[in-house]
Amino acid sequence: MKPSDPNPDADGAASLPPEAELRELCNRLLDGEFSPADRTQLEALVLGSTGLRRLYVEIMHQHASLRQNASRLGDVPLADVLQTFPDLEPTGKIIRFPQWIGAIAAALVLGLSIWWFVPRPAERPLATLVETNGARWDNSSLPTVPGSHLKAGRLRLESGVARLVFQSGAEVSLEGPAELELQGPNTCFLHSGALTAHVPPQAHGFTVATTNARLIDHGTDFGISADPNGRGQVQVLKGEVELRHDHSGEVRRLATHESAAITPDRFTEAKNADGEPDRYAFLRKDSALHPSTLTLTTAGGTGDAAYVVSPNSPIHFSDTLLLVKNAPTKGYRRKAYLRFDLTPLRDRHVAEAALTLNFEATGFGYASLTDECTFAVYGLADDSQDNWSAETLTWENAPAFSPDAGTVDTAKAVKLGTFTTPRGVVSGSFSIEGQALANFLNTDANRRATLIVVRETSEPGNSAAVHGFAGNHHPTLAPPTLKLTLAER
Amino acid sequence: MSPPDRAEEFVFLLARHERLLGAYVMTMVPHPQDADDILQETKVVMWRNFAKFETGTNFGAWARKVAFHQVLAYRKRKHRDRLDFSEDFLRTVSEEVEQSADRLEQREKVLHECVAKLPADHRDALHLRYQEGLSLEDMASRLERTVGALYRLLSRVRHVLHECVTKNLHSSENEAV
Repeated sequence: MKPSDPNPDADGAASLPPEAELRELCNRLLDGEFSPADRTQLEALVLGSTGLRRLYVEIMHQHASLRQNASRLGDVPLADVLQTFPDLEPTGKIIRFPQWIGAIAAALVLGLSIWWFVPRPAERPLATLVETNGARWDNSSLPTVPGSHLKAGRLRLESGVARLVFQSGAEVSLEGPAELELQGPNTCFLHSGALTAHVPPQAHGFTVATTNARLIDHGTDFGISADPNGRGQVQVLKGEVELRHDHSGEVRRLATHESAAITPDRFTEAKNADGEPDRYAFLRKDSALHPSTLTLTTAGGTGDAAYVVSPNSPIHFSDTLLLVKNAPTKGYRRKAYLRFDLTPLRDRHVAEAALTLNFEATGFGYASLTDECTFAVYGLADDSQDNWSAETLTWENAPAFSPDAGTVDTAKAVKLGTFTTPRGVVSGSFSIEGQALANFLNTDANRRATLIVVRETSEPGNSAAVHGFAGNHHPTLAPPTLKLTLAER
Repeated sequence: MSPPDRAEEFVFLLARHERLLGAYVMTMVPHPQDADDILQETKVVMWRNFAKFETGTNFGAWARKVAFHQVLAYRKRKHRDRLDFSEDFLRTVSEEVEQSADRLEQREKVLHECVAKLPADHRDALHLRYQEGLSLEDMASRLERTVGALYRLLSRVRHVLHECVTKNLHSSENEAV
């Protein structure tokens, strides 16, 4: 580009007032062609006036700030950065300084300034599975061999006992049937079932979340149980724990031999008629043995969840949400892919089925400019294409590919239902249900069901919101969930 | 102090100061690629000499001193360029940054609020230019616009951001009074 291009009227920049002239010279320096004559003129301005000197430094600093804030962050935690340091003794030795060190360092202190990024959940071992007794595993998303290092994910124990030690040192014995999600080096989520824990001093603060309450350990042995409907029970064997209710905000401290029940609204006493803590009450229902309902998520077993991005997408990505958008600009298009592992169904027949997606604002585009939007859910009919993975899925290699953002290749996938988000609404739970979905699940031969979510509603411009719903790595919202009602045997 | 702790200290200090350091080098070196190389070399030299840095003293000033020497060394090593600034200019600008360090850090804090207020197409342009690091030519073909139009857009965005930061900085100073 020639420097005169952007400024065809001005003969050079000399006719401008000094401040405007300096700004123009900086623009050429940063984006255009900067000539030796420009350099001479810039020097004269900067050396000749304290005000312009100040302005020059501010403009260049702003440019540098924008560049550095935009550095790609990736998901490398500090510990991994520092592991690269043993070779980096501060001596005279020359070392290769990783390019991204600055970005990592910057992110540590200035998390707020990383405007365009959401860090991914760390894929590091959180706990070790130390032993199992008579354990039978359901389709867990984690390895189930003793000695395995467990990363974030779900363990589904059908029966028996499994003992794991968190990185913090907290020891947990999980009793089947149970579903435990490892969330952090000192944190887990008990979706259902029971566990006992021994927490040594260095692991104080060990946290067990359940659907409606969190337990924070203050140095104890304790037991906790939870049922899929959000009820549960806590018993302190020795020491002290703190209970925090998610909805009522109630905080309770329990000491040795004390107990409490968790209900969806509050904490209550957890005693049976004999005055003994009764932790298995919810398991004693006959229905537990032959459940008539079943809940599956894309986080279970061989499930997976991902979204595909149209080629040349400059912006709008998320590591926690699955993005869906249908816009005129090709680079902005997004579709979501979900896979459910159907093996827990065994030979049961699905009578009714509902798919629920938990939407959350993505921060991309304006909700206020977003009209009512209709989304369609397709089921992939071609079983041979079910083995996609989130890592390798692309816009064009995705099953039932169609270049159109609002649909899929209908020769390969069948439409199972639609739902509509109201004008301006970008969060909340939305579902489809019906016989088409149930039939699709019943006729799936390889026990892996791929569903595709697209936004049928296109938009006139590009400014409307990018919709997003929780995938498998959202910190709080449930992943895409199938609620199935099973036919009587 | 064991090496990992020392490394951690370095990473933290660098995090605190490296943006201003980057800006500092850029005020003195007209070619962005050269500025990046010098910044990179500066960080390496800083790490190699970190043992000599006394904890508790001014890391930013130390870093800038190292960078200043790297700029001079780079210029000496490289074939002299007609675009290179004079040493007089380098010293003057370098003193200006040193004096303005606090204000510049304040400005950076406000900058992200101002970016957030930009219309979406301006933010998109910034993203392509700064995050993707695209040239104006590449941006032009990506966005199907002319290089001249993008040049004018970026000039305008730069100006708007600068004014926004100055205004917000003043209003927050007034509130504090």
